[in-house]
Amino acid sequence: MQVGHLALAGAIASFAPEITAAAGVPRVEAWSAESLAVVFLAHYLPNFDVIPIKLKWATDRFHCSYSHTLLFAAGVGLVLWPFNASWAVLAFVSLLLHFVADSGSSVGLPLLLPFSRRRFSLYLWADTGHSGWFALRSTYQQAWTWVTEGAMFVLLAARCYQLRVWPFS
Amino acid sequence: MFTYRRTPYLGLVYAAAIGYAVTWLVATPDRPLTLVQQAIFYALSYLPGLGLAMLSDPASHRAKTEYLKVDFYAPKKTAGGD
Repeated sequence: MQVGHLALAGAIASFAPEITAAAGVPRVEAWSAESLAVVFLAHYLPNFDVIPIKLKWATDRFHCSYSHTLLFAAGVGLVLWPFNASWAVLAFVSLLLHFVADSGSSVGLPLLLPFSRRRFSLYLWADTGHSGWFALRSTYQQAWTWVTEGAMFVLLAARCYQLRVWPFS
Repeated sequence: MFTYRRTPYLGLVYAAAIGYAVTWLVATPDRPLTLVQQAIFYALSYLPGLGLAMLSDPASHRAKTEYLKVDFYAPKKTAGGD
């Protein structure tokens, strides 16, 4: 998933009160500066693995490796927990939903690293690289990216209506 | 991007169905959607609608099949040969 992450992160931030209430941690308001900052940062965090690749510190295969594991999600949650439990829960959920959103990609997610190298994928669309114009263009030549990412934008609009946010206020 | 000329138009049909279903699901009787708000829902529904239409278009399937043959993460060969 590429542009769809944007809509999905927005949708997750809209559910911040429900997520924090379900986890029994202090409530965070929907689409508050706090929820937006935590969710967007955490949701995009796995894709920051492109930075060491661009800096030539890692090979292309580093993309969708350790940053896309359950251990990474748990680690981020555990690091944040002593500072702010609500942030920890929101970050953990955002990371898990990032993995769900990427599960359709043929690159597969090594969710169980370092315990297993098995990659999990629904093979809905072919992965064509981690960044660049070609990766973007070729991704949107495939049907399921439109279905899944488009659905995220519809979901975001539905949340705007439910929360009475412009243009549904 | 499309083999059939009908694909983007078929997407409009799917978008109408998705838009109707979503507005039916989320709209509450005390706060009916305005025409502009309905238009926004239908416009956004075109994104997944187009995807559903592309599922029956060979161009999308062909692109996926071709890209699956390529390893986009394989180490790049340098001029030096190593």
